[in-house]
Amino acid sequence: MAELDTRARDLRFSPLEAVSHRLVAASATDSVSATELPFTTQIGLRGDASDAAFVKAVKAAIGLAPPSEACTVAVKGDNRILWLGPDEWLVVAPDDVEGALLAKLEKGLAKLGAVAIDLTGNRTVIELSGPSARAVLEKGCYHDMHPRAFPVGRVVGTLIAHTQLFLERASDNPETFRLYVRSSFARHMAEWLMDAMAEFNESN
Amino acid sequence: MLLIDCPYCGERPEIEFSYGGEAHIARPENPGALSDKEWADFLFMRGNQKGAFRERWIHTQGCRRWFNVLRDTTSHEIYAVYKIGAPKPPAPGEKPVAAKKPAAKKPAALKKGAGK
Amino acid sequence: MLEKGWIGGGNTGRNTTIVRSNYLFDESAHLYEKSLQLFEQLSQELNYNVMMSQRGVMNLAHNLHDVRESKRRVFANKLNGVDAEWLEPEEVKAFCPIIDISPDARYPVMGATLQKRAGVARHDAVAWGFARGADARGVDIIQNCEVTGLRIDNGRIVGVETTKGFIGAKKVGSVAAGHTSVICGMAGFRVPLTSHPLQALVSEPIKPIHPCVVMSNAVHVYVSQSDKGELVIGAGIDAYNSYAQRGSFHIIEGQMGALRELFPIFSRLRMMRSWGGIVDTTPDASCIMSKTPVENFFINCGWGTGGFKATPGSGWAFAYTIAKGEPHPLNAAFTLDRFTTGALVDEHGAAGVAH
Ligand SMILES: Cc1cc2nc3c(=O)[nH]c(=O)nc-3n(C[C@H](O)[C@H](O)[C@H](O)COP(=O)(O)OP(=O)(O)OC[C@H]3O[C@@H](n4cnc5c(N)ncnc54)[C@H](O)[C@@H]3O)c2cc1C
Ligand SMILES: [Zn+2]
Repeated sequence: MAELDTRARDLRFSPLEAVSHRLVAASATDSVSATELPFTTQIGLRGDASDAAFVKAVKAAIGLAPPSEACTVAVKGDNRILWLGPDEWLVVAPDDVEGALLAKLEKGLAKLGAVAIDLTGNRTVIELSGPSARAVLEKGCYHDMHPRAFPVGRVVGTLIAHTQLFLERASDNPETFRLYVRSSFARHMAEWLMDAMAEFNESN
Repeated sequence: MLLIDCPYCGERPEIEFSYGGEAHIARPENPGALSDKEWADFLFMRGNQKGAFRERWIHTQGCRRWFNVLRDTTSHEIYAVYKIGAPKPPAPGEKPVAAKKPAAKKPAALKKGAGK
Repeated sequence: MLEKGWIGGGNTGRNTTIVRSNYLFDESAHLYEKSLQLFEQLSQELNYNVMMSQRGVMNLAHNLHDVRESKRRVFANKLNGVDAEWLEPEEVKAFCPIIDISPDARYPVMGATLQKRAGVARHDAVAWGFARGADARGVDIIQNCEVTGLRIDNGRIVGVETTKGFIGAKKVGSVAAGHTSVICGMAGFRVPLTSHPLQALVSEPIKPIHPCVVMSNAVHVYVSQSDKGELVIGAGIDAYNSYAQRGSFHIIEGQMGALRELFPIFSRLRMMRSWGGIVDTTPDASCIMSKTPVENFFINCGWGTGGFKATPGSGWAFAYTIAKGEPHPLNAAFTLDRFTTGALVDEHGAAGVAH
């Protein structure tokens, strides 16, 4: 399970692959740009954050403790853990490590009544960044995007353009947002974003 | 649109939530033992209070947790938000009531877990 | 006749004025058909123009399930003597030319039911016509008089407390729509009702463009054009309980999206006003016209999002019920104890879109 064989790697395609060139065309780095971060490893976690054994097991596997503060994200290197609910998290890691991470997690959690489950492929990630990124999102989202209500390093489950998503404000850049969108809704979301971005990238 | 203070995530727009109607309706422990009238009472009859009203909401698009809200049905003002199983906060002008047995045993994570 | 505000200030003066009788089940079809027949005579009977306009109501079908259900309803209606037709898409277009029937529409129109005798009536004219008719027949109408309590003696009603004092009565009927739970609470019993906001809105007036009433369960639209030229559009109920006569904005926003989806031609129209009523919804989307646990106290409620069309029939059957102390065969199925016996009349399908 460790590595995808190269044939499988050649055959797979991400939810937004077919529109990736259009996303590029609709983007402009000086205002707002969108790009898919395809094939991230995603693992759902359920457990009790006040249980030291649980925290320890997750830390041993991912290198990070699940954040206990609501709507926050823990980051270390390429690995992140998103708070989704009081006993629920999403581990996000680079492509092709789900097998290894799951094996470690399952071993650590086996006796704890906690769960790790492979959700890779459930959602794809769209990264939206630039000075106008916030204005683009505000067109279709009721969540308050002001840094006071939505500072960096936060994640919220909300709706944009009728579509449920987890929306993360990158911990290292207030102008970068990551949209975790269910694969079957990704095209709709991308089309909506391109339309919403158009006015900011008029030279295109 | 209501602004609802999810006990786990904080203030969010109503559009992220779904409604669960009147709160604190305990499912009968032994439905088979109920008369038709008692069953109808449980299943269909509602307080439908005008004024302070206890109701359930779920943060569907966010943390997906159920919780209770004490809201005024004439002004839509939200007086209090409280977790499932937590003691009922008093309505304006109401004496605080001591919590009876919680309806359901709450999972440990909800008791001590994250959020505000 | 006691009214805490003004005549027609409740849902009667806030609805989208659709009148039809094409309900699915026998019990409802008979009651609403009685009402429609009374509506057809109402202007003559009351000597007051209620502006009844039988311009036809179409219910659109957008998928195979809709088609099957709609045809079933047409057959059921015909068996009950209610006029009903099934229209193919071209016939839909002929009846209402502004509908987009192209097969690549997001919600393609696969046909529609049509009740030609259905249509709209002017809601406040109906309220005022009835008020004048009642007044002429000797009924005292007391406005700004709120019922604040029910006086009950030995399980039997003897009168009502009001903001203007006590009024004794041998029999009392409550027709308080969204406030029925409050009234019944005064008598100490609960009813299977929840009160919700139901919102509607009108556009700026435009020249006649929309010849009938169009309803779509799937897209959730019901729209007609008033004689003043405004489009009259109703939304679905707000999810939460409320007595505030107003709802949340995203409901209106969603409603505009649905309208635009079905009628791209309306996309540039400005909306002028929106408002809300308090509708009393029941678990089976049917009314309650019934005796109660209190002797000689009767309730007529649960009309929810669709009782305007029933106004004359509801009054007719309720008058019988109060006079005789027993329901008429037309409302015998709509008693309070159907929630105990389980004999519900589930009209969620035909009540479909909230009107
Ligand atoms: C936005 C909207 C759109 C609708 N569209 C349609 C439609 O297209 N077609 C259709 O058939 N139906 C429609 N309906 C439903 C319809 O309007 C109602 O079912 C119907 O008007 C109910 O009539 P009613 O006389 O029972 O209640 P109401 O007209 O609401 O009258 C009840 C009255 O009781 C009074 N009252 C309450 N408490 C007291 C008290 N304590 N003492 C004294 N008086 C009291 C209230 O002030 C009120 O005037 C719609 C409703 C709404 C809100
Ligand atoms: Zn929440």
